[in-house]
Amino acid sequence: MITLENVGVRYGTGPEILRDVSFRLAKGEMAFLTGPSGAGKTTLLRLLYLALRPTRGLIRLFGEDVTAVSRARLPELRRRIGVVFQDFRLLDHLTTFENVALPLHVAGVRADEYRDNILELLEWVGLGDHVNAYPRVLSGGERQRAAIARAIVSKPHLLLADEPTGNVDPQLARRLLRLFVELNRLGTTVIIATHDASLIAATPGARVMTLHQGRLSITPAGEAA
Amino acid sequence: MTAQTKKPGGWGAPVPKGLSGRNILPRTHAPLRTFMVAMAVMTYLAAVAIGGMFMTWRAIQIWKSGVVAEATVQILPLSEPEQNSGKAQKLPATDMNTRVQQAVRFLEKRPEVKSLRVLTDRENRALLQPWLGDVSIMQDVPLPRLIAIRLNPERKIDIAALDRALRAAVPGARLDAHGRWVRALSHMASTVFWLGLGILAAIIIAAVVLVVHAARAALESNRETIEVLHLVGARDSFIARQVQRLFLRAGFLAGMLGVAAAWLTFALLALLAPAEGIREGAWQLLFGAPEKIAYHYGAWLIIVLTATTISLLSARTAAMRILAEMFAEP
Repeated sequence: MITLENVGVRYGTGPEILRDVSFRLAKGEMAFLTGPSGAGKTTLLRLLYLALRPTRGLIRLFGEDVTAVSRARLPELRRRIGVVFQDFRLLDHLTTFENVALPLHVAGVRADEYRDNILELLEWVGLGDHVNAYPRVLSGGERQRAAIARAIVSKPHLLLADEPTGNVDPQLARRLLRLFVELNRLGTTVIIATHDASLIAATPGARVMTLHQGRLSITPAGEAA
Repeated sequence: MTAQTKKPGGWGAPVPKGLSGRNILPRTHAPLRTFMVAMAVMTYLAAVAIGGMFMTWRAIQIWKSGVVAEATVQILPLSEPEQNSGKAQKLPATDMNTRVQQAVRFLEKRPEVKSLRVLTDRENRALLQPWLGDVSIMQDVPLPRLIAIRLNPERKIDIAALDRALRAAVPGARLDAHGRWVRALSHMASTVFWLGLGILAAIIIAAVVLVVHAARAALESNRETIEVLHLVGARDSFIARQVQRLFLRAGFLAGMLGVAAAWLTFALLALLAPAEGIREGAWQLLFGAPEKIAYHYGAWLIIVLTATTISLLSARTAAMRILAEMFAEP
């Protein structure tokens, strides 16, 4: 599913943010990406959701070399990836329902084909009463759940989440984690970037990838603290 | 995802319609408002230019048809050599009246001439008064006699041939068909036409540049939204369609607004212009004969459609190019 070999990223002429990062993640695996602030977690996620090309090395996603893929091919690959951003990135002028419907709308799915699924999904993430609400009136946790719903609505093969529990209380964090675990059980490969050690400890089946000063070390599943 | 569905948002909450027909890019932002104002001004200028062109064109056609329909025959006093030569020898040299009668008889027989009128000596002198002042002191100076003729509009007239025949028949006679004025008016009409086209071309170029800049500003101000759209898998063509939708609506509204303002301008001219000719011209432009004003209103409709089309095509082309520049590399 995901293969990185000796990947390096450098912004302009600055130092390398990521150095010789290599790992493989099979379909249906779950992994945590952790490490101190500035270690390169977000940069690694940006590489994986195709918002950035590496300075060197090889990245294969879904069996395709994405370092050489053309710009026109990117949308198709991105439709197979769901992303939950730390700052949600919901569109303020669209309702919760419309924000969640966005990936399906841009893929050309008709509203009557997705309406019921989205209502069900919003119910599932606990936003059934906020379908027509705009992001501005939602709490941090509600926005986070709307962002998660948007990321999973198109049943992505790969789900990337950048500090998905950073803005929520511990109780909601555990609830969101259960949501990710359930998605993973349904076959989605999940990578969660987090500082939250309790989250990692609560998921013994997941691999833990630790970034430190741009270098990656991997703890196999079940060996995390 | 097996949760039980219930009515979203509680009882009475509207069921969401989805995103079809919805603006994915927010519509209310400064670049679009600025674009609308500038585009409305440009369509106003284009509509006024076209209206002015029609008014001037019509005035020129009226003047020209008047000038073309009329001609003047001059019977000049004969100089001494002329008096002693050819046909003139058979006539008393000073008998201007005889030659005038001769010319009248000649002209009355010609099918090209519809009607004629011999100007009296007093009328002749009155014509000179604006240039020479009191002409009573010139009582003894021989002046040419003039015959005003109306040409037959149903015939194609060879003015040069008619002039030659007249000169041969009546000594000292010549025909002036105001050709110089006709040429000048034709020249003026084509100048007005090309000038109008030039103004319209300049306005169209300015409009295209305006749309390109406004599209860039609209994309820049929506950079975050566009990033999100890209990340959820939107193609550039999808985003360009959203931009084009914003500009389609704005371009159409601006076009309507500009043309409406131009209509009001001409309506005010028709009611309040100090010169009667301008009032009449503006009135004819707006409320004249239906078969004529159809062209005017048609041209204005074309301006609205052109403004809309320019907005649509330029916005799409610009958006595709700018997106490729802005997000060149992931």
